[in-house]
Amino acid sequence: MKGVAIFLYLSLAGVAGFALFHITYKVEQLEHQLTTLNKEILEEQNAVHVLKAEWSFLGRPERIEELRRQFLPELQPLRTTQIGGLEDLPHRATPLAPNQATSDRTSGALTLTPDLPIRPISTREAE
Amino acid sequence: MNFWTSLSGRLRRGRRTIRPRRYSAAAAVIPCTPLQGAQGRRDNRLHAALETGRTRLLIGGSIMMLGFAVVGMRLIDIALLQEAREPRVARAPSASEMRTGRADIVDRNGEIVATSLQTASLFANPRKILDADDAARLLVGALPDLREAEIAAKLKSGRGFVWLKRNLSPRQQWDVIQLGIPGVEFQTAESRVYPHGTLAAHILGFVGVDGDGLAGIEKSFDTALRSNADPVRLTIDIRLQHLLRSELTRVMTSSRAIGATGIILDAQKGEVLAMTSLPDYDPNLQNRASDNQRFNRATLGVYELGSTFKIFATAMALDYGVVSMTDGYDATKPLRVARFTIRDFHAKKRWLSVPEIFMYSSNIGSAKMARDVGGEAQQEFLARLGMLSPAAIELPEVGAPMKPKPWRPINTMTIGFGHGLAVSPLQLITGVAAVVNGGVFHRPTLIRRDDSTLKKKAGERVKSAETSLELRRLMRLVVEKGTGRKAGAIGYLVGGKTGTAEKSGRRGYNRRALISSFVGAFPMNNPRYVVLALVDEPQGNKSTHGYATGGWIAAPVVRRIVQRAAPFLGVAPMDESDPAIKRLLDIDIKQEGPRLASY
Repeated sequence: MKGVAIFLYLSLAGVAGFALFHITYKVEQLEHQLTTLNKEILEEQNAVHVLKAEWSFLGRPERIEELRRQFLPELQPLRTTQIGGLEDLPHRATPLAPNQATSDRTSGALTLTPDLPIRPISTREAE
Repeated sequence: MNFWTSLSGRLRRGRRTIRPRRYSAAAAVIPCTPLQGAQGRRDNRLHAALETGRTRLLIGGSIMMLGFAVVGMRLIDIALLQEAREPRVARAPSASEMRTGRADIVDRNGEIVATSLQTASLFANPRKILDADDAARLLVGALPDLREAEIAAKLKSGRGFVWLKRNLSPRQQWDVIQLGIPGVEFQTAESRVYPHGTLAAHILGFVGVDGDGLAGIEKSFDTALRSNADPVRLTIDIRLQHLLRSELTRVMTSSRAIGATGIILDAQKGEVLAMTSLPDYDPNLQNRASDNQRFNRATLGVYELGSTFKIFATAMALDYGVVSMTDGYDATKPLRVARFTIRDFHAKKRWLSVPEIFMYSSNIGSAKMARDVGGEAQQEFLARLGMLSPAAIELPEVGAPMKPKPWRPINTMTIGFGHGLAVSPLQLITGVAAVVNGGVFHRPTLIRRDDSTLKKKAGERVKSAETSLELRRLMRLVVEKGTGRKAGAIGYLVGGKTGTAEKSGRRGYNRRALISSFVGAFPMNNPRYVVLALVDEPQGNKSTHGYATGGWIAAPVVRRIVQRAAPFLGVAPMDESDPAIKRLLDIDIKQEGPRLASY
């Protein structure tokens, strides 16, 4: 009876000791992981910071303008005559017939849209 | 003490049975006792001594016990009770926000215009270098801008530390690491980077080697930038800034001018949307900039701005009720005052109505108008528009206006057409904004604030709304029919005033050195933005028929700026011949008025 109790106590102490060491090592390991992650986060933040600066550098209006000149020569600054409101759009001349609308949409739309008489900005742009 | 005596007494009584056994030996040690009485006395004394000793022992023991009890209790407290109070969540070093030594500066849309980056600087310990010549050759291979002989000499110097190159790019740093030269090391330090380079140089300013702000916003917000992690948000829009700068660069080149400056200002809030001064510099390489490049012509430079000042003379005369729109003045002959002669550049040699004086930019008319208002009223009016005190902007580089002292009647007259009072272009545009926006003066600002705080900082009424409307009509007239026709960006109802002033040198005014400017606002039915372009000493060319006046040089710049900027600013083009607009802005120019109005 006494031996059983001693055995029980000793094994409990053993288990407790093992658990203690296990947890201690686990915590140490996690702490190490946390520090690494924190370091990585800071590194990433730093990288994001650098990239933001680079993005700003690459987005210089001067550079965009130069790129536009090289690759999109058709893209020109917006002219006053190109800006209009919804009310400047003409109404459809005749409503589309239902069958025509499905079969011949493209040509129908083209024929039905006359020249856009963009608002009476009567004058041409200067220059 | 009472407590202790009673306690010891009680204990003594309780232990009486043990006592003889314990002290019997002591009694036996004393063998011969000659007298019974004497032995009894001695026994008594011994007893008393033992009593004292026991009491002392008891007190000492109690103190010890108490001490142990405290230690034990504390032990229980720590081992059992304290555990319950242990934090449930473990506190570990967490990643704090990355902080740079200096906060960013961003534009109104959050675009970074100034930031701090970690950069590596290369240094060497020559004592550790094995082969200086070889190392120098390799280093120059990786960093071509270094000179081999110089590097070799540094590496042979035998000192313990030599700088080789500061602020390497990450790419260069990598190249040097790849070389693997022993004794060559890096030191990382923070350096200030301006990704947009020259774009807003005069606004941003720059920092010194130690990272302290030496000019511009970097200087005026130095403490805020150092202590706060939040970026400083400017009112500048870099797109507009670029547009303004490119247009001014263009006119500066074509007119072979020595300088130019321009400002785009929000007329309703006083926010500076773009401000540039040419020639400018790259704040990344600020130590290579000349003084001329560093000079901010928009805020620090003060100029006699000429005819643009007629806006104020006319506004003042109308606001004080000295003249009305139908009045006029005789401008037949040059005006002689004291030893000065005031002439008209576009002389009409006849009676001119107030709108005509403004439209043809008549110096004679404006001088007479200012004379009729009087010096004191003029000073008071100009002070309200901020013309007599340095512009209150968040920059350290602010020029104080140069005003006449004393303010003689002749000064009153010349200031009427913009001579004799030198102000900064920023002062002019803020004043014009107050004239056109309905008569409310807003402090110019470069720092974007929330709308809530802005409402509290409402502007200050400086003149009546009616005068403002009349001035808008006049300024529209100048662009429609007068000297500023070249500023007419169709669809945007531009109105404004040209200015051509001769620069004053040592020997009076110089006819060849001009300050040509145009200040305009749009759309004139409800002005939202004011634009100023000023060109310093332009030369006429073929396309301007040899003219270097504000109307030929600066007005076209403003037209192009308005055309390009309006889509960014969300100003929709409108039909300028719309009857409602015509009714609002059209004006009756009296060709021939009653001569009675003048003298």
